[in-house]
Amino acid sequence: MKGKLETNMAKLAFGDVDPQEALRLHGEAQSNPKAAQLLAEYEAMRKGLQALADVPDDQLSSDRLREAILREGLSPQPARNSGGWIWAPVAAACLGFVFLTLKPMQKAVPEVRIAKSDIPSLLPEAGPSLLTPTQSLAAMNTLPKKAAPVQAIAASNERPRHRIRRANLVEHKSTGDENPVLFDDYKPTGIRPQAASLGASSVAHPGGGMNSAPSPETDAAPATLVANAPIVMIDQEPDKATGAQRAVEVENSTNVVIGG
Amino acid sequence: MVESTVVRFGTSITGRMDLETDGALVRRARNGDYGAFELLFERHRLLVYRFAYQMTSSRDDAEDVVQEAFVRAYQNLHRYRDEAKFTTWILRIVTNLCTDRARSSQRRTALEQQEAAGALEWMTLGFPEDPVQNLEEDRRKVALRRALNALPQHHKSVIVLRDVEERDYPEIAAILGCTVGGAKLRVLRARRALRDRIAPLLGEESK
Repeated sequence: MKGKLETNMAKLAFGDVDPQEALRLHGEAQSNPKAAQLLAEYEAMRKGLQALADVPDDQLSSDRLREAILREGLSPQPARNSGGWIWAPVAAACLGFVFLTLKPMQKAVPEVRIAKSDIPSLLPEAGPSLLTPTQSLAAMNTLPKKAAPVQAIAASNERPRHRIRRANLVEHKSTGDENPVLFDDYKPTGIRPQAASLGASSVAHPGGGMNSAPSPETDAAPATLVANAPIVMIDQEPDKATGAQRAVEVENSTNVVIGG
Repeated sequence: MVESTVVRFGTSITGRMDLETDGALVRRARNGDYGAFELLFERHRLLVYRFAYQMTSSRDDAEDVVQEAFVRAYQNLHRYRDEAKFTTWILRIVTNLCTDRARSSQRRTALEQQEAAGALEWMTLGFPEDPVQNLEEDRRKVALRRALNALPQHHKSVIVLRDVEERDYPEIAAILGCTVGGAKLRVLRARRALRDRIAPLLGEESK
């Protein structure tokens, strides 16, 4: 009660009440001695505080301020561009657009073109002697797990893919440098392989498998190479035990068909 | 207030800048126009000094506070929000500076010494008509000044802003960073605290 009375008298003394409320409080102060005392004290305090408003003259100057600013080595900070924030999402959108544009291009399957003359260099170094399965497997394991798929391409033919493959198997007679052969993931169709000289086209077959389609005839040199060099067929499915792609070594090229 | 405005206009640096608002001057100063900042200083120097003097009770300290406040303001012009009043912003800086000074234990001791010196200074002021009345007036002022200086900073600042400098409650709220209702409550509590300190003196005077 006393707190509320003191609050009201303080508000009245300092003019923080509306006229109607002031009139009511004045009436209360007249009827209540305690309220009257509080009102008198607060009114005296208000007058005293108003008298404190007088202050001595200052000696401030803009020169002193400039010296102080220069002494601090200050310079006004550049104003923030209110629209600068918009460039961040714009830049992010541009980067995202560039990334999305380039990503499909990266996904394109690179074509690995292997010339016939380069085929022997891809074989593990076995020389004239045949590699043992272990050596073949070890050599094969050094190859990337996922060999780049290769595609068989007709030199100058735009027929559908399956026709191209069969055409290569039947018609292709030379795998010289002028007609490089590409290899792809060829899956066996179950046809029994037939005797054929494979030449360089019989090597590096990531698709693995064999086909009974007749293999193309090759030149004398490649034929010699095929007859003497071991052929390692790399299966497409990895070995369950080791995770490496299976390598099947064949000695006779007659049952190996290369193609797309 | 109109007269002071006229006086400020009269002390302007350039005629063109006289009519510019504080916000426009701040933007100019932000872009490197030091003359605009100098004009801001000239416009509000006295207001800031008066408040600083009430808070420190010392002219030298008040001048230091004012200078430091404007240096900080110049350094942080980029943080000034255009929608706020420049006086509100600079007074808030002064409030924080005075609070930091008051927290220093060394300053407390010096303040007590200045209170004594201030009492002497106030004693020399007077009205020539009635020496006795002058003495009573001075004694009251001294007592009130001591009681005000003895208040905590958060009470002292609101008493000075409202009852000495007669700022309105919305501006006080903006300076303190609180609501208008909160500012009114803080002023009420500060007045009670001040009354408790000067009650004995007021009681003697009423007798």
